[in-house]
Amino acid sequence: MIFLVKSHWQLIKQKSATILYLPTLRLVPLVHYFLFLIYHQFHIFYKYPESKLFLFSLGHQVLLLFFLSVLFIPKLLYSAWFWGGITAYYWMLLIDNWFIVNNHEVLAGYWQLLFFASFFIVPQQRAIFLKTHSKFLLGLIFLFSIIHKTISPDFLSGNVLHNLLLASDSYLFLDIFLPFDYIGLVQENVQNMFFADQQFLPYQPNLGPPILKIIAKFMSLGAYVLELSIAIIFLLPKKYAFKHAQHWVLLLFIVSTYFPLRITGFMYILTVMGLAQTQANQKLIRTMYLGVLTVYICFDVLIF
Amino acid sequence: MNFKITKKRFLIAFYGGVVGVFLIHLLLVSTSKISPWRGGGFGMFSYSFGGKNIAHIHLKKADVVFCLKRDNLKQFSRNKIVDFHYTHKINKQMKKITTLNSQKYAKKIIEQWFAYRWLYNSQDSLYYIQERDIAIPSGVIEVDFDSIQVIVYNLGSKKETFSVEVKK
Repeated sequence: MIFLVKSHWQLIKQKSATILYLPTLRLVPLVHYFLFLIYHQFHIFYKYPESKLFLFSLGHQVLLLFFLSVLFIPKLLYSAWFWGGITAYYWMLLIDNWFIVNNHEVLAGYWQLLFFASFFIVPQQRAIFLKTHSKFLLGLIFLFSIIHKTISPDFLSGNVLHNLLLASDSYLFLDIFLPFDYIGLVQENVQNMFFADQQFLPYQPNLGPPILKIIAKFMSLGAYVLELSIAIIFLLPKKYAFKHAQHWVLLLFIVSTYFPLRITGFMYILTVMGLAQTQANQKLIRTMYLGVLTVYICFDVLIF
Repeated sequence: MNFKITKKRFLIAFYGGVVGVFLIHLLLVSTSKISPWRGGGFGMFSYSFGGKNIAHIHLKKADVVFCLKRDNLKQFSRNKIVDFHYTHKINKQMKKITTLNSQKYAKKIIEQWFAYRWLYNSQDSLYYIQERDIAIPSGVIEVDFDSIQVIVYNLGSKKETFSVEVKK
């Protein structure tokens, strides 16, 4: 791997510079398409039409061909017809399965609609339209999340993250810092939970030492403050906004939340919406978004 | 009528929709058992995991009960067995029943299920559903029942969340 990177370093440098300096209206569809191809194509379009035999079989193949046609006709990537078709089909699946669609899939649907609508804006204002509304939409989504976290009796008390710490492999790296066998505790709980599910028996997790609950409370508070900051910063009118602050808090949230929890759908859509708020001269911020994305994909695909 | 979609109108409809979906979802989360993780309410990681709901379909006649679960229900298509039972719309209806946890909705759906023929193969202990206008394939018998019951269980609490029985 290192040898490959070394031998192709000049090429990688050249290509990445080309990507980083692309105008927003070129970069965003490119990244969005790539992420759509490696994630949504195999999740949303495959998962939801399952009760409709036509869509599940022939329809799926037609869609796949339509989607892959961009690889042969790259111009399609910047065409309202292409995104209009994808958006319409995507929304048909969302509406038909409204009771089971995941929240990040709904957010991707909103973003698709905004992106499609941007084709009908005068060309000089398209980039500003995308920038303004991806920022506002993200602010709104984080505000919704904060409302849920405030009214829920489980979040600020630490119950949600305590449960996650007890029986999920997301935070196994904490074992280095904890003075007890954390990995053993998680393994025991996962095993008991599996057994209880199989036998349809009640499951009572081993709660471990009290410090775990304190850590969960602390982490919950941290996540709450971070999400609240994002909601405020993204919803603030431009004149009150700190320069670039929105990008740094969003990146901090992506790295601190989605890396351990590995929530791929949300990670991808937030990155695209973050990139839509950048300009060609913001090389550092773009490098950060694309770097975080590349590391995540390597982490997710190669390690897990 | 001369109606033009302007930028302003689109944005009002768009954000109205986003906020509307959130408010309806928030209401449903507090009044029904719909998951905060789904449906556009953005309540992920806000509530303790209640555990998944699963459902059993019982075909009943007097004391005899045929219990159909996700693993033992298949579908006969027009002329062959489609092994992926999830291609059938019954699976989607079951998902909706377990997600919404609504007795009223479950009752409405069960009434539609009497239109199907329910078949059983004792050799492989599998159940099949089939449209009534197709001949019964060999090796299976038609299940004789006079009521359908759906029981929804919560995997987390290991308790029955509701049960609906509808007679023929």
